[in-house]
Amino acid sequence: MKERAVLFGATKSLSGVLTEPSGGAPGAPAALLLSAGYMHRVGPNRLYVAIARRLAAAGIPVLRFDHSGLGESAARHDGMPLKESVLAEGIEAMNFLAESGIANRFVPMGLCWGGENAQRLAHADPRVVAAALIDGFAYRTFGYHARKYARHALAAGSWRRLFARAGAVLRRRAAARHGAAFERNPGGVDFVREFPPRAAYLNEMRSILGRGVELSLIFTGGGMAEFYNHSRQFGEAFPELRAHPRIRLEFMKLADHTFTIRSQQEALLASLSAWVEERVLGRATTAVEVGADAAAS
Amino acid sequence: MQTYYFGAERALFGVLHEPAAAVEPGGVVVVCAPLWREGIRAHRVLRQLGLRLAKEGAAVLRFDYFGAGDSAGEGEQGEVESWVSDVLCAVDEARRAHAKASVTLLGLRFGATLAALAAARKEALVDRLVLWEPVSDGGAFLDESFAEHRAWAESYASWRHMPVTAIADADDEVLGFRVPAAMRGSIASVRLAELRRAPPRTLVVERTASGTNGGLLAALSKLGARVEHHVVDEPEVWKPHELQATAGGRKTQDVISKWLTRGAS
Repeated sequence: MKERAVLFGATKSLSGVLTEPSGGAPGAPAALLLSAGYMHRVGPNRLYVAIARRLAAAGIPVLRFDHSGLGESAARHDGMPLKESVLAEGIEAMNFLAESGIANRFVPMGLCWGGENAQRLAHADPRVVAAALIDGFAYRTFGYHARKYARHALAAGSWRRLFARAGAVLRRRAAARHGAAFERNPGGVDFVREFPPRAAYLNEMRSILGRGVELSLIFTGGGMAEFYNHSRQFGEAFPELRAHPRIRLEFMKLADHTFTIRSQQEALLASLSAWVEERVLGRATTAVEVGADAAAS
Repeated sequence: MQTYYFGAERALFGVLHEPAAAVEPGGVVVVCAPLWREGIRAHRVLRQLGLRLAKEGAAVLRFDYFGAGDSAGEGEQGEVESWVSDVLCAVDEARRAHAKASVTLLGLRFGATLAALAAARKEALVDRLVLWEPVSDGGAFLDESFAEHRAWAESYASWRHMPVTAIADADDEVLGFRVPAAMRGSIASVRLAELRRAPPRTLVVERTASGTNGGLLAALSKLGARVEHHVVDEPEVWKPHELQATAGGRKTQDVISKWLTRGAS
């Protein structure tokens, strides 16, 4: 495994680190790790470095890079809206890897905002053959609400907490009225995330899957608790995608959004590398039980 | 700006901000980042500081220790001695780029501690030292770091209606980073008040005049260093809540900038 710093893009202002398998990777697709929110390219808890090295060890090159205005990448001055610029920069990253002779097929992946952008990139560019979306878009269901309130009712002190959180609930409702969604992060800050309407999401997923793209959808129990609380929820929300052969779905119940718990970091690395080996590189692998907690949910 | 790897044996990731004109008055500034999550949180602020100092005439080298950030190595491989070696390696790298310029070591939190320890080495030949909220007692820093991790674990477990034992499955973690026994031992032995050598000029900037670094200030003075001490009350840019403030630590940056500029005269 070897690593090198790269600058790419039209103005050579996008900064990244390319991690390549030591023996090269002829014919293999390359992974792109897309910025996790405002974090620079090492990712929360240096998770992106670990992912890049693990996937390079499995046999694919990985480019971790900063979107413009983040990490070491300079800010844009062309006035392009953020949603368009992150897509354009993802495409620039793929062009750079293709022009450098590293890969012609790609696997965008990311956490949170990075997962959202990996999905957008998978939809926009036919060179994408697989994508891993960690805590990407999620949609509440009747089952979600039933489980949430049942858990609250059973938990000691829940009513006291319920009243204490009244202010936060009101804020979430206010945000929801404006089409945004709130995510609770204990000990940290509240982030506002905007999810597309359910129908638009479904259409995008149909289009991506229709091209034969492999998808790994990973949801954390802690990071997505305001949106997702059971391994079956994706199937509840989108019954037609429930048993889709190209979707690998995982619910890591214990993990928080930034994978603070080390054992959950390791579980994520095992999951992603097994998925890449099996679904992206087409190798037979030993089944990896991701988050044994998933079954207990 | 140039990003690259340097160091013969331990590939260290560096970012070199070159000044628009000739180097001076700030000379070359080597920036030492905090450890673990504090280092990731402070990344943006240290980059802003690097850009600003370069604009004002300094060449600035920011780098990651072995096992941290973009550098080679795994996080659990570090110890104080090896991190100090990395700082000295970065100083050599800065001198390679600007042989005749004066050298300033600038560090934040435990990065300031490592800067002070590296500057105390005979071979370092550092001209100036900037210590931004230095950690002068390694043992206290460890206690504080593990307490912060426990507080997070308890808060998270409570919110998830789980016993804390369900998530706190190891006793050597600090907020996502493994801190093995050898690393803990090396950090616990750090006492900046026992420094034996210091550069001629040192700037210490802290948020409060709580006296935690009183021993350090006295030690630096005793070693013959000209010490300037500033108390700047502003948010902790290395803490989670402050990251989204894109201009964090601006008042402290002003103090550092003015002090470095005066250094030329």
